[in-house]
Amino acid sequence: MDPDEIESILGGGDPLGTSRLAKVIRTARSAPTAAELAREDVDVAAFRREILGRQAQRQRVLSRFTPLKIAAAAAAFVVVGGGFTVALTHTLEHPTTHVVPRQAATPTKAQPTSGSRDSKSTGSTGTGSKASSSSATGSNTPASGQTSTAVSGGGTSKQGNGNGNNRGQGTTIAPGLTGSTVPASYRGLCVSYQDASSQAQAVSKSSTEALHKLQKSTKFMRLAESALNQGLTVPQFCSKILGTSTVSPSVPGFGLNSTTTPSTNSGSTSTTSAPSNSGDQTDGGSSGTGGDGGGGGIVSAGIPAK
Amino acid sequence: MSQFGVEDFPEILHRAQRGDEIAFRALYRTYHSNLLRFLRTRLAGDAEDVASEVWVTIVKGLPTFVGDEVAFRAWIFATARRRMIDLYRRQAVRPQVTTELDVEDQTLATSSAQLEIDEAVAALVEGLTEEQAEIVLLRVLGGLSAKEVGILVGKTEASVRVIQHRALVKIAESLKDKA
Repeated sequence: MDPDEIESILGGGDPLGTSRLAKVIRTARSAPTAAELAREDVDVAAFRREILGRQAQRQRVLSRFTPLKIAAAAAAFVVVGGGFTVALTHTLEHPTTHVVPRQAATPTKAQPTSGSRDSKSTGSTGTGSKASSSSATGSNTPASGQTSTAVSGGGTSKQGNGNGNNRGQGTTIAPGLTGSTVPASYRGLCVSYQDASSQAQAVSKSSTEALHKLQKSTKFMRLAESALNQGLTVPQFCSKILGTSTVSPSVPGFGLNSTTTPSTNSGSTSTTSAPSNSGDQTDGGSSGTGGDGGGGGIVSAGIPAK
Repeated sequence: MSQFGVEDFPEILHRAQRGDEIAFRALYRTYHSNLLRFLRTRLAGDAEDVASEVWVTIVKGLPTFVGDEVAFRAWIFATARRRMIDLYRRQAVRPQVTTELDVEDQTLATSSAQLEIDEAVAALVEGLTEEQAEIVLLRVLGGLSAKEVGILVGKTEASVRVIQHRALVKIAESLKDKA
């Protein structure tokens, strides 16, 4: 037998057809018998166990990772959402950041002292009209009490205007000062102003300088802004504060000859006119001589007329 | 279709790898008998257990197996050789070529076909050395080429051809004498 013949026989061939070797080889390679497959179920069970174990392991791995994934996603959501929330609430926590910063001593847009309120006047027309005109002259002013009322009424209307025009009672200069607090803080200043104004009418150099000096003061600037915010002139503003008729320096004869006592007085006639005015003083209950300009003639005592 | 392989081996293998029990049974029925016959000539009574161990190893490695039908057969018999070596080491028993079947292990239900098979396998290793018997069985029952056998036993293809030639010539003469 040569190697090729061997190879042929091993390959399943039988070149001679009578080879016993080939027959033995074919018999050795016969199909499996039942006895040889007796353990098939046992061995297949091992296969089944292996598959199930593999699946269970896969499930365990997945179940282990799923909560992690969920936790990771939740953590990411918390971080992102929390950051957003913090940013948002931080903004909300400091609402003052949204407040327009104070306009330091910057006069608001000056409301024209006349004529600008007519569209918004809601108060008594008479006084309102009167009040709207700082230079109203000649119009009879009611009694001081009435004046005050009128003024106040007008003031109310003007306040309404002011409210419409500005930020309400508070002012940009003193946002915390509203309503009654404004008059209280400016009361002394208004007294000084009116006094200085009345004195300035005397065309006295010293009184004029005093008035100018007063007008240059920071506090006066604030008062002026407050007045503007309410749509008033300074005299009107002070009159409202002091409860007197509006004093207009431009009213002829103002000051020296006609003064009015403040209506808000408690009955006292603390305001005294200059000695030169005494003759023309009106009672506290009445005012109006000289019109609006005549009112509010609070003349600080002690200022000698020149 | 190979006389040793299963029809449409790639499809069967793929299904078995995915856990298809029917596909695995097809593989089992195709290769188990030759495996068992190979082991019986070397281990006698432990052949069934070792064969089961071989299939356990095959099952575990099945998902990652990559190769054709010849490679699969080579894998089975390589695993069988390693199991036998492990058994030898545990038992400290030198392997002996069993030429006579252990009739007492045979059940009464053993068919004549089984007897013929067992006798034929025994005839293929009668009078051979350990090395010759292994090579002959791997070529006859494993259906492996001389080259593939050489890889398993650690010899060159030429050496395997020489060894198998001498062995088969001897077997042929023995059969002739018996006849």
